Amino acid sequence: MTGYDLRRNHLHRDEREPLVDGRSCARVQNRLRRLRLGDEGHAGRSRHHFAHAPTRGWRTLLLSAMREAVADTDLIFRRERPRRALGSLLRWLHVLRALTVADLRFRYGRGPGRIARWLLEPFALVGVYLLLISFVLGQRGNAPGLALACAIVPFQLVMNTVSNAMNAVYVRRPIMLNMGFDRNLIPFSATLSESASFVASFLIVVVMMIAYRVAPTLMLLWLPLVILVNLYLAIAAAYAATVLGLWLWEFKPFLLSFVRMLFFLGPGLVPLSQTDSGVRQWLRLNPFTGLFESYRDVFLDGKAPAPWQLAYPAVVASVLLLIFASVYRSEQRHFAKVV
Amino acid sequence: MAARFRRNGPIWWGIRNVSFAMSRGEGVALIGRSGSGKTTLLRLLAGVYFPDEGALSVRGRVASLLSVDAGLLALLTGRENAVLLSALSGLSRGESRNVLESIKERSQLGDAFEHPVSAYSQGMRARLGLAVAQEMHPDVLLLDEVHEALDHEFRAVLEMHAHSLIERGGVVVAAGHDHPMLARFCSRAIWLREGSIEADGAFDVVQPDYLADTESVSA
Repeated sequence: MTGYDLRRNHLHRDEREPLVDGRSCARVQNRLRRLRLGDEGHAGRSRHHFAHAPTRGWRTLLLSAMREAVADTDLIFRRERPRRALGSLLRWLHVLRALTVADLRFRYGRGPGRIARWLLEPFALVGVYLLLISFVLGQRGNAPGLALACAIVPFQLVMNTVSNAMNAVYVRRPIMLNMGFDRNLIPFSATLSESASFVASFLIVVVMMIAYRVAPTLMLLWLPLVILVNLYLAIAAAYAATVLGLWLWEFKPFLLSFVRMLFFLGPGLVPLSQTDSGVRQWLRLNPFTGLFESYRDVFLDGKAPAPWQLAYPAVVASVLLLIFASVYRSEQRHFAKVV
Repeated sequence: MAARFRRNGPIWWGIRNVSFAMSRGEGVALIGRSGSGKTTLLRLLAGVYFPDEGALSVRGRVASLLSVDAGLLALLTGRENAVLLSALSGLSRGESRNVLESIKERSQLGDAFEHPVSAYSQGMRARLGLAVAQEMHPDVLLLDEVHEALDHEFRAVLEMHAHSLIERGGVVVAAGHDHPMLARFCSRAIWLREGSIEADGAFDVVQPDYLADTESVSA
């Protein structure tokens, strides 16, 4: 027997069922599904097709369906496939949304204070670093608070996504042990959950621009692309974090420290132009460097990001995805055994 | 079909060389001692585990009550859990919204439906899980001793639902130690021993054999 597809939870079509031939089989099955017929004609097979008894006999309907399928050669097949793909996509999005909303409830609660918490949380972190560089280190220069915010906002998305993803499987343990669902959604859900905070954190950037009297420019049109690269890196990191959070759960604090270290081993606190020229080329190896500089170019300096600033983080994200997405896909079969 | 577990040490098989078929309109009881592979088999059927050997084919919508938590997340309310479970079970957004009040009514949780599940008793969680499963109109219902946490009233509801599902051509697979309850809606029993099928047949034939075997072992 083949065709194990419980996770989709809808009537499953086994296109290898030998009714007529491969394509005709698919067409007949499509038609049967629309007529909501069962499969009593196939004794000895173990299936659980749910049948609503139509008013006409099932044999008549089956024959009529087969005749129509044969006459209507490609039309049914071609009409059904995009519809099925759209249906699958909508279901996927709905499940992703449900997982993300549940995650956000954990994080922000459900009272009226959740909006305030959502808006104020990003300020807390920026405030600490702002005090550090403005008062403790005495940094001057071009809008240091805005330059700092341009680094913290993208970094926090990736950092929080990694932290979320490391626990994502454990947090969903009750569901995972009770039912099958598409576990590829877990890293996406972790990223999407942290995107809520990411969106709120742009308020800091706006406040900083007002405080330092930095006017927006047309280069803001680059922002969607910069955000896309940021999200891409976060999703790639989420796949890695989910797997490593399970494999190396004893080392979670070290893994988080490693990611945090990338903020400081890059132009996090100060722009790249203010770093030591001797290490500047090495700092470019950090994928966050390009991202931080891209945000600063767009918000602070009013210029287009250099190609390497977006291409390099995207390449790093692609490599991470290539490695960890395939590992994830094979390991997700075993998640329920290890939680 | 087989499922193995990785531990620190040698690999051990939860179930191995298990082959069976279930037809429409069947109620199947999984009986056996603790650790015989009942839960592993149910989790395979639910899609929680994936076969490490062999193949498995299950068609139709599957509803499962396999864990004590019944798949509920403790920090979410009953309503929020119902929305999440409905989505994961394959209902669309509109369908999920439409069935919420019905789930609340079936579960008879009242105001507790709006409170976090962490405050629920085991029975309340089982009722909520059962209500969600009922609203899904599944083709296959899997039960792993969670039904034994239900009170008498809800056991009767569960039995009624199981009978109705079987009459409609669905399948109910239930594991547990409450054999009189299982006998009320399962006509067939699969006796598992150390991960393999010891016997598979009519419930009133297999179950006495199992009981005789456990009594002889304890004697």
